[in-house]
Amino acid sequence: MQLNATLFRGMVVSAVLFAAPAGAQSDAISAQAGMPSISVPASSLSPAARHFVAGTWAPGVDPAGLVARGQSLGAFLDEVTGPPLQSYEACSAAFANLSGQSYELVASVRASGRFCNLIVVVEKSSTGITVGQLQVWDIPKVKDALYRSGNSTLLAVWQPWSPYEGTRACMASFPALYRYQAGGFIDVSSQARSFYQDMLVKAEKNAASSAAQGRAESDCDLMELYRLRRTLDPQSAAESQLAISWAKSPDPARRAKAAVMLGDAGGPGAKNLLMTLRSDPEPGVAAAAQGALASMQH
Amino acid sequence: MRRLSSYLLAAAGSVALFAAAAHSQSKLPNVCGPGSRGCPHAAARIVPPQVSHPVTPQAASCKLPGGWTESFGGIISISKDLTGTMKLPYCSAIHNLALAQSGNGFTVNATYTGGSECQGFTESLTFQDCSTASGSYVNDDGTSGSDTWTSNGGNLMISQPQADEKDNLDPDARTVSVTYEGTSSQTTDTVAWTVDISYTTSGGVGPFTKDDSFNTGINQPRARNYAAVGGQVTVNATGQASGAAPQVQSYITGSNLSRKSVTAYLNGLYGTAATGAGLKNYTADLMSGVAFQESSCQHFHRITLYNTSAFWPAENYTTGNASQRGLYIGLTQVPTTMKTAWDWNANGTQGVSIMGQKLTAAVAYQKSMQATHTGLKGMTGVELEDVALLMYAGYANVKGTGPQYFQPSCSGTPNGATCTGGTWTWVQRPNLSSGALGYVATVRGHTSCS
Repeated sequence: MQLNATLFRGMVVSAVLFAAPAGAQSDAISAQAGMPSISVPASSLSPAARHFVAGTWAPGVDPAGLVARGQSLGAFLDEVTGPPLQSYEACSAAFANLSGQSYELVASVRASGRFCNLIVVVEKSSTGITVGQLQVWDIPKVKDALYRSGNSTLLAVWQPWSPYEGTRACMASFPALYRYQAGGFIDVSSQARSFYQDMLVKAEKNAASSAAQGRAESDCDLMELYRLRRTLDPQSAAESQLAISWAKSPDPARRAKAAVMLGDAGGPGAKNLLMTLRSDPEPGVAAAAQGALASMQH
Repeated sequence: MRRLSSYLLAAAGSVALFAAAAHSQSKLPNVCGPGSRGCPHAAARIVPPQVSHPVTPQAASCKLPGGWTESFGGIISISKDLTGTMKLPYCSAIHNLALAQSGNGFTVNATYTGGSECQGFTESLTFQDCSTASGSYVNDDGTSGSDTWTSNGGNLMISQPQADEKDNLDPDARTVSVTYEGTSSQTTDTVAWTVDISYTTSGGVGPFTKDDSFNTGINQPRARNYAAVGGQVTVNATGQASGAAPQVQSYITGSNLSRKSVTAYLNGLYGTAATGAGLKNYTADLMSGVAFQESSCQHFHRITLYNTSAFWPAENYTTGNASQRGLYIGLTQVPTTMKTAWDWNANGTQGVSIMGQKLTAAVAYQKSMQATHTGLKGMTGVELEDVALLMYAGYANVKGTGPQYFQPSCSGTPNGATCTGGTWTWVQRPNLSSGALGYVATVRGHTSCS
């Protein structure tokens, strides 16, 4: 599956982006987890952007070293992703061969002013450049997200799993694997059993050491471990059992995590427990349960 | 060990005997020693007895910087760059020293620019142990003799701050006062201080540093005030006469403002940010809800850092690819710098500023939707805030692409930009994640930091 919407530099971005009925388009975006690709003709690029694009894109080259004097990588990314706001800051960047044809700029971007929650891929084309964007969860070093699979380089990115609760509780996340293609991101997680087997081995060790050391992330390590086990063995009931146990916890962070697991893993009594959690006195737990119930219906 | 001790006692005795002899001289420099004049080249000189010491294995790693005395009553101060001074009792001025250390010993080149009563000299000495070195000197005029240096054993001591002392930032002023004092047996001396304040999060983010250097007199405490810094404090002090003091490490730690004060401060800032973004009917206490969600409204949390349990800046948990604690910090969990880590006020200001950007982005998203959905009215202030909150949390893209908290919905049949037989209205996106919904609900449910 690949995103169809393609934008061209010089067009009114919002008109193209949102011309389709919002609901239908949003569903497409959700299925892809990426955003509509953007194509920018070379003639529409600013001189500074053209200077950057004309540079040699190759592994080992520091992208920041190719930007024009006075220009920042964030400004380049801002330009090629279009209006309305100029707010992108590159957390890190590298050149990698994601397309299998040439080297692309892969940047993790601080778009929210805080976390590096956006991956931007810029690919040179015969007419200019193509840009893909993927919402992820905090990748400070983009090289950490590059995953070699045979002759291909994929993006291994972490998506939020349990609710983000700041310093009040840890946040579990879950890895997904994407193939980049012409401005789109194709979720190939279901084809990557060996990737998840590797992740499971790491998660087993992580959860064991985390529990032994009493680390504050131990709940999330356990949650991630059980999710990985279920991914590889859909019959695994451990996650549901953990969720049922945490649904009755006095700790609201555990109840919120239970809601997420119940909504995704299901299991006997999951819906009834979620209905109960939907009336939780802690607003965040109640909302998480509401979201989980909605996801069950989808 | 016993044998070494007896040698040391013998050496100490010889120094005492010589000191008595030197005092018997009524005029300067009526004594033969390094830097003195008028010594007969071949005549008997007052030479301290030679003492033989075994060379210990650690001699090669002995350190020269610090305070020393020598057989002729000279007081020596050597700094880290192996330059220094020697004040001999029979010379009216100091000798300037340049030293070079090699193997088990060192050489000294002493120059004298005082009166004609003294002169320059060179010395070559071998460490007997790290507190004693013996050898010979040769004056510029060719006279020579033996000499022994004895370390003063860290004569200068840092009495303030004490090792592992914790000085807390004042929560209101965000400043801290650290008092420095060097004590020594010297009655007068100038002590040069260097202070390195370094903060690295428990996940290794940093170091963020601030340096300070200043002078004090001996036994004279001096308070230094620092703003918006904290962490481990490494203190070095060197007295001109009394040498280098053993290094001391202390800490600058945090203390929290009351939740009531935090709430008042953040809410005061937020009003400007919201109206600046063009928001009407905004939630006055939204930012204190954000601070609750991000940090329980506590800029400092009790954690262990530098093996010290104290109130340190509140660090993010590790998640996915973000494997470092402390990438984000404090009240509003913004990227870590020395300032955002140690100045809750600056941290809050930055958080509110980011929220202001999100509000602007939410308004831009609204406009772009209105441009493509005929008749779509604007969102309420609260709805715009919810869109902005999802961006602040990191669930939604600031450029309006990807899933947002609210989206247009047609009550009739959508036909391009037109809603045939109905109207476009804003509805909450139906498949928002539990995390996204939970974030907004928690912020809305805790707008008094409670």
